[in-house]
Amino acid sequence: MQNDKNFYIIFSIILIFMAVAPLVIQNTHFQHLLIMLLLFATLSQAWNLIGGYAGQVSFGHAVFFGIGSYAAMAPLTHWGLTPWVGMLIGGVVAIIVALIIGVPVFRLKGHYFAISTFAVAEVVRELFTNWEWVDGPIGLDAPVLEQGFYNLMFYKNKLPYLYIVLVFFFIMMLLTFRMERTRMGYYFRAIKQRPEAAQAMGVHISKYKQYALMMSAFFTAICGALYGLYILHIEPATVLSLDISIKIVLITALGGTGALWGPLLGSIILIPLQEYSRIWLGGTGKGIDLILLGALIVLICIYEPRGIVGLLKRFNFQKGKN
Amino acid sequence: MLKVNDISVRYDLISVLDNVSFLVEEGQFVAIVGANSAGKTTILKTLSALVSAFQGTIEFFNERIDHLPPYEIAAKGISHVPEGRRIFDKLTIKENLLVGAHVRDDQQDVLETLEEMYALFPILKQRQTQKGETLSGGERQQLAIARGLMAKPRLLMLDEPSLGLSPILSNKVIHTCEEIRRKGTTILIVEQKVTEVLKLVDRGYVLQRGQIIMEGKGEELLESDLIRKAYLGL
Repeated sequence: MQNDKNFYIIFSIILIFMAVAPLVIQNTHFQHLLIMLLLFATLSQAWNLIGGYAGQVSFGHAVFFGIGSYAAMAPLTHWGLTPWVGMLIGGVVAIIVALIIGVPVFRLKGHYFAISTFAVAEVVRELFTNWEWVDGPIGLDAPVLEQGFYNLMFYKNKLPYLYIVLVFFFIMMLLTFRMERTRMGYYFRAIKQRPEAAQAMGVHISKYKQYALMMSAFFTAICGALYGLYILHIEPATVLSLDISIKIVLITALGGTGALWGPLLGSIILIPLQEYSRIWLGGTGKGIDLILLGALIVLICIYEPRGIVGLLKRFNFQKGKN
Repeated sequence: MLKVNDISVRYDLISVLDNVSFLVEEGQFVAIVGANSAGKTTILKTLSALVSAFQGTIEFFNERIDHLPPYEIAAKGISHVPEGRRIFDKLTIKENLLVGAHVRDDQQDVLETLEEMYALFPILKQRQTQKGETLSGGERQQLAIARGLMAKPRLLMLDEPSLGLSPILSNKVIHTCEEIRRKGTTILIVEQKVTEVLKLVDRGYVLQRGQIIMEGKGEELLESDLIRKAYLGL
């Protein structure tokens, strides 16, 4: 199909650019920016599975993110366990938490899911804040270990982190692209648009919402693990914060919910905006980046609720007419 | 095939269906007719468990189905084409149809049914890659019916397929139902367009304020005084 071919071409170009650009521009800050951008694009795509495609908005994805970071970091700090195993443990625990939230809540109609994700995230943050083994509110610092893939630690430069995140971005995008074209993808979107009609067709809607949430939770946890290992310090106030939950939603909403390219486009705008507004406005302008974000979201809501993807579509449509 | 015994449904405290009973035999074309708010849609919703009855039983092939969840009812072979042409706007025509085949496993078989649907509704084939939202009212209705048939149902339930269509189109849709029945699918239709439907069906039930007040062969009902006065204005 023409559409599939277009996707593969554009996707390859982006991947090659992301892989080559940091080799050409050997600026550490630029590399950091790319890492954060790809990480948040992957993370938001994971959110997009449940929030965008299946239409069940979660305001508590930090819970999966935090579980992922702690699962990788705590065993590494205490026992020196390779973070790759920790990452998988985090993914599995996130799936279990997704079941705990989803099984009762997806039986209900309406906004209960959004509210409960919010509540669960707050509860889990409190739990970690009071948990001695993970040093409560102080959080965990990554131990200094031999660098390399086994420990997922690199001190000399950021490039290995960038390529690892790029691989996960690649997997996440490809998975979403394939999912869009399977029956499960159709069911997700059918449930989002007309749950009752989907139900009348015999679609087991709570089961499919649960699948979406489990997939989303798993990949969110993986991203959490990568984040912790890259930043080298985690604490409840960052990895389990409402900030993270909201940022994931904002990026996807800005780029376009339920759209394949939405999360990447959202990150391309939001991540640099956030980084630079913080650098330029510094401590004196604390919070100004958030005001800018807020303004952007208001504009998007008023003029193009489909996000940047919608803007591009509109532009394409007009070009087609001329 | 389908036996509904004394079902009653309330929305909060308001009674919508009151001891409704009716029968659909295999291979029949059965209609429930009645004015707006008589409870026609509620009957179909109750059958597919989107609404629950507080009293009464529903049997399908001699098996109680009134306690089953919607997805199991669909799996038993009851397909519901909802009122107002509730197609999935953001999905393409083909994707809409494939969602309809949700209860079936054999993908090869599903693709064959897809071709059958394209033969029955050629416009859908022409537009298969377009989004649902680009269709006109009549085309949407055709898609909704085709989507319902994709499940290869034993019983197809249609909720006011003629609603909002021009007289010519609505006649066409109702006659398409007749064609589907000839191919062997049992149909239960609820309609406001009393004359057109009653001319075609084997059996009709007249629903008024949640109660079945009359039943009989389609032609018989058309000739009855009640129908002539209340619905045809004669």
